[in-house]
Parts: sequence; structure tokens; C-alpha cells
Amino acid sequence: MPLGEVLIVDDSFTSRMIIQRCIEMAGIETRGFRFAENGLDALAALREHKGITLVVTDINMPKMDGQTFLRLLKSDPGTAGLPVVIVSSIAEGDAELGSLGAHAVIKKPISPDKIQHAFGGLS
Amino acid sequence: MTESFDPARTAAALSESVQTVLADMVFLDAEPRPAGGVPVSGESRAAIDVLKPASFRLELRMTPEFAAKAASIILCDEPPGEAGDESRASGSARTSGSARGDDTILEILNVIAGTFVTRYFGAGIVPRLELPQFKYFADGTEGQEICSLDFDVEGLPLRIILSSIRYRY
Amino acid sequence: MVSKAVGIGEWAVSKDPREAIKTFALGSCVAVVIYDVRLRVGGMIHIALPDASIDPARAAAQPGYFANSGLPLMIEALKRLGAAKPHVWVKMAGGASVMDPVGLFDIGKRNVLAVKRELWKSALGLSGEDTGGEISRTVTLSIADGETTISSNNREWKI
Repeated sequence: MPLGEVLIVDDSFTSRMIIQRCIEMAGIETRGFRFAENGLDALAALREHKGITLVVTDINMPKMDGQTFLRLLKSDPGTAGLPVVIVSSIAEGDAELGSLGAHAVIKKPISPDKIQHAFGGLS
Repeated sequence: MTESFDPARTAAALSESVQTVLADMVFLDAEPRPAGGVPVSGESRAAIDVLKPASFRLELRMTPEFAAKAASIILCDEPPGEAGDESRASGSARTSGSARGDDTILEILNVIAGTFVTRYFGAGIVPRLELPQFKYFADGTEGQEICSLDFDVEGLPLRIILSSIRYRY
Repeated sequence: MVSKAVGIGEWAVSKDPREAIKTFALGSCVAVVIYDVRLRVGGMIHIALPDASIDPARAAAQPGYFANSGLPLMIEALKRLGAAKPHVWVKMAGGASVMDPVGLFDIGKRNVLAVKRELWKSALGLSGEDTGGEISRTVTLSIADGETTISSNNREWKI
């Protein structure tokens, strides 16, 4: 069953494109992609687009970082149930992200294999 | 706090990080070369400051051709002069060619930094990195050069420098 | 089973379940195998060098010799047989470590990376890879079921 829309949050255009491509190469069907450059813009995107069913986010971003974004997401009953996958160059071994409710944490550079592994259990 | 970097271990971890990231992310082969190769004229410099677990700077020096090649591979652009692909991403902002090359370099540097921290300091450490940026002028924060490595990336020169940073906590 | 041989710089596609496509003695060369599990069509290419721009005349005469000229052609040929992305897997073998004549770089490694660049461009992920080392590999693709076998020095294994 395809995922709904996937929101990709990263201040790097390159990274957003890589994430999208890896999701497609992993054979994961989605209903499309939305993009945001930081946590603040991501929150706005979630308010505007109700078809988003999965968030993939970086940590180190200007205006609002990934940890703050994740905390706000999980503290809002309207978005608390949204699965969030962290993709970051500094994410490995961060127990805090798991305790904040991240579904999975992937360390960059990402690959279709890592995406497939991280997205396991999502539908 | 300024980490005292072991020269041999630093060079090994940094070299492996550059080679691994360029291979896995950009599918380019980076061959180590003896020191002294990156051309001065026309080079670009991108830097990222690491604040934790140690305070240091990683700087990439490259030619515009390297940035353009890396971007064209990752972003699947057609080479200059041919019909370009439409962006395949619905809703993504389209940016100019050189801006995309810059963005690609900054992201490559970001990933190299994260990879190096893990290789040198070990897994399980959560580093604190500033955002990568291009350096156009000396801003007084440059410290002492600790390690400098040169590479030939399929015909294009690349240099990475690890240095200390001044006025950091 | 009828064996269809692919030489260096060549490629072949098939939808005949009686056929097996085979290529021999991959040193630094790379074999790329693509198979559609729904239609049971498949192809194999034996790539010698990464980049056609170093010898455009050769690339024109024998496009399969280079990763960036040959692989897109084989992918197009498979599409014409009806192969489609959701049902397709890609595997790669070869790329053993061999330095170029001047000793500046590893041709096998460059070939592997060049193939990955082309697969990235085509948004095709790799399902299996047996590359590197210093062995010479022979690769066989069975069109009936996509079974991909590698052999070297009297040993045989699947990817």
C-alpha cells in the first residue's frame, strides 16, 4: 500500500533531492513529495497539506533544527502520530532522537538500502 | 577545548572519510595524491566548524569544475549545452546552476564532517556542527593547520584541510 | 539451456526462457545484469571502461565498452521488451582491482562507480553486488527465473 505524501525537510536542496531519489529507488510507492527547508517551514507545510503521512527530516538546520521540530510535532495531538525518519550526518547513536519518538534514524550518506530498512513497518 | 589530534590517525580517518563519501554519495573515485596540488586561481573554499566533541574546522578547496561535476551527477543534470531535464520533484524550488553546485559542495562537506567525527572519535558520539558555508575572506577565526590532504578526483584536484579554530569555546 | 555469450564491450537481452546469458573473465570489467521478474526478460552487459568521452570513435562503434554509453542502451532495449521499473532488479559483478597502465588509479573501482552513476541517473537501485577483490569472475543469467550465478576458480555462488 503506497504511503501518502512524504514531507522532506532539509536546508540543502541537494540533500532533499537525494532523499527523494533514494525513496524512489527503494521501490517505495508514495503519493508525492513536499519539501521544506527547516522545521518552521515544515510545520507550516503540515498545517497546509493534510495528505502528508510521513516526515523525513535533517537535524542541523537554520531557523528551527530537527530536534525542536520533532519535539513540537510529538507534543501536538494533531501530528503526534506522524512517523518521522531522521536523516542526518550527525545522527548515529543519538538515543535522544529515539526517545523523542523518531521512527528511525539514518546516517548520511543515505542509500536506497538504508531507506528500505528504515521505512520497514510503515504503510 | 582544543583536541590534540594524532597526526597519523587524523590523516587516515580524514582520507577514508573523503574517499568513502565521494564514492557513496557522488560515485567519484578520489585518489590520494602527494601534497601541493590544488590550483590557487579560481579555487572555491567551503568550510564547516565542528564544536563538539572537539573544536576544529574542515575546509574543502576545489575548482568550480569539481563543484559542477558533483552537482551534475547527484542532481542528474544534463551536461551544459544539452536539453536539461525538468525537475522531477513536485513542489521543489528550482535554483540556478552555480547555486546548485554550491549547495552540493556544502552538503558533501557536511557529510564528510559527520563521517570523519565518527571515524576519529568513534560511534555513539553526538557531534555539534555549525552549518557549512563558503569562505571568501579571512575572518580571523582561522587557526593552525593540523592536517592537509590532496586528492585527484577523476582528473579534478581537491584538497581538504583540518585546522584549529580561534575564539571558540 | 541455450547459452548466449556476451563478449567484452557487448550486451544482450532476451525473453527466451530456454536461454542463459553468460560473460567470461571479468577482471576489472563489470557485468551488469537487469531482470524483470514479472515478464521474465533480462539482459547483461560487459563493460570495460567508465567513460566514452576518452574514445568517442570506439564508443560509437562499440557503445557497450563504456558504462555511460552502453548501459543506457541496454536499459532502453529492455524497456522495448516491456521491462518496467517496479518489477526490475539490477545486479553487478566484476570490477576486480587492477591498476591502470600508469599506476594512477584502480580501473575496476572506477568501473564500479561509473555503473553506479548511470544507475543513479536511471533511478535504478542495486539488489546485489559482487565486486572488487582480485579474482576473475564469470557471470551467468538464467532468463527462465533470473538466477544469477558467479563462478571463479572452480567455485560457484549466487547473487
